[in-house]
Amino acid sequence: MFCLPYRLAPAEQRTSYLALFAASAGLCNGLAAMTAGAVTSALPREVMVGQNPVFALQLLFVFGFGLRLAAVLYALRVVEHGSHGTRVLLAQLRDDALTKARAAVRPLGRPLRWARALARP
Amino acid sequence: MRQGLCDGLSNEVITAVTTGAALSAWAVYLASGTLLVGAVTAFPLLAQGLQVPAAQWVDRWGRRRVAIIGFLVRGLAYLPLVFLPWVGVSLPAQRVTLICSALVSSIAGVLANTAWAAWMGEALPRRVRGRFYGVRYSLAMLGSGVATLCAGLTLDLSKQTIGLGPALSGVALAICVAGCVTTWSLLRQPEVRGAPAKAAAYSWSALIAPLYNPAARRYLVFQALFNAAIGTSGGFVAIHFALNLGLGYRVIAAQTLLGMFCRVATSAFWGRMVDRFGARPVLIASGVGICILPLIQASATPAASWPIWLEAVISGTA
Repeated sequence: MFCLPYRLAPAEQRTSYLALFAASAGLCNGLAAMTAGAVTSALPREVMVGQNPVFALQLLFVFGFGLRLAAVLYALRVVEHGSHGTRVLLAQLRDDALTKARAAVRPLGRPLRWARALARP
Repeated sequence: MRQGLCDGLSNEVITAVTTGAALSAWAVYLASGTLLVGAVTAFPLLAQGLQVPAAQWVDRWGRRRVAIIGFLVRGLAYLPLVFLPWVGVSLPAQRVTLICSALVSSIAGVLANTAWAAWMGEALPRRVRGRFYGVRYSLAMLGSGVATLCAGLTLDLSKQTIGLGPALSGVALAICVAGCVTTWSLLRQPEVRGAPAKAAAYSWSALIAPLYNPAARRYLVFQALFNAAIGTSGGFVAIHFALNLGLGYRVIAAQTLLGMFCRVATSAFWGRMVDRFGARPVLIASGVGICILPLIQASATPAASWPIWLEAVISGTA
């Protein structure tokens, strides 16, 4: 995640790009934390949702999930030249995991075949 | 370079014992809840807005001098908290003292880190730079983990023995000592010979240039959304665990430590993935993992708190 700002910033303007990225990230994060703190301190510790009592902080977490989901969906619009698609990455990860799993169980193959042969009447 | 590793270790101790379990303990001790946690969590992030003028100030006053004074102030800003439980001041006055200490420490931290990065950028030979930062990061994580666990154990033990106040006073003293160790370590490192490279002069047009670049603008919107989402719930996890789930500070510290361990264990893997596929797919894949964390945090209850361990593994891995 931390590589993307470096890749998006042209070399000759890198400093100002990175400064703006860092400043905007910090300000949004900080303001959100202060606002969330103020809102939850104004609420009672437990609130009723339907018939169920839940902690106010649990509601905040659910709201945070909604915002994170929106951010991840928006990330699909972020462009990086020369990068592969997310599907390619996930497919490669799956293939790597399968190859490693097969390699891990391969030494067990021969003893299993012997056991099967012995068990055969 | 050994001194550079030492200051990285001591500096990370300050970060570790001013967030998470220790911050929740301060909130409990001062009977203040989420408003104080939100403010103290927000200061280091809001202070990032000072990065732009900080580069100019560092250039004017000298990198080594700003780094040394900045790290000293960052640690010693917590000195009033050492005496807080012993002097009879009202709770609101104690809360204001904590907020002022955190604010001063955050501003000094941004200045010091900007100066340190510029100083080390020229002091370190290019061929060892990657290895130095790698070893420094690992040591910093180790120091942070040990400090988090020690703070959690101290605070938990103190509840049954001496009380939370004296323990928090001890934690504040540890922050001051860590600040002094960082300063001592930096004082032993020489200034780079030759004229320092001048920081780029920031103009308003240069600063808003990314807004005219469509790819950068999209990334800025994403970053604003993502950081607002992280800030909304991320800083309140420890206080939810302590106050609502009734977990001990050592459990919170151990959970933080597990997340840290997973982060160190998987960082090289994600680095390889970025090199192979680009940063965007990795951003989306890890974003999906980070996205579900608040739901796992919300699903933990006082009767079944096991999701916190799943949350630590996913937050460290994603």
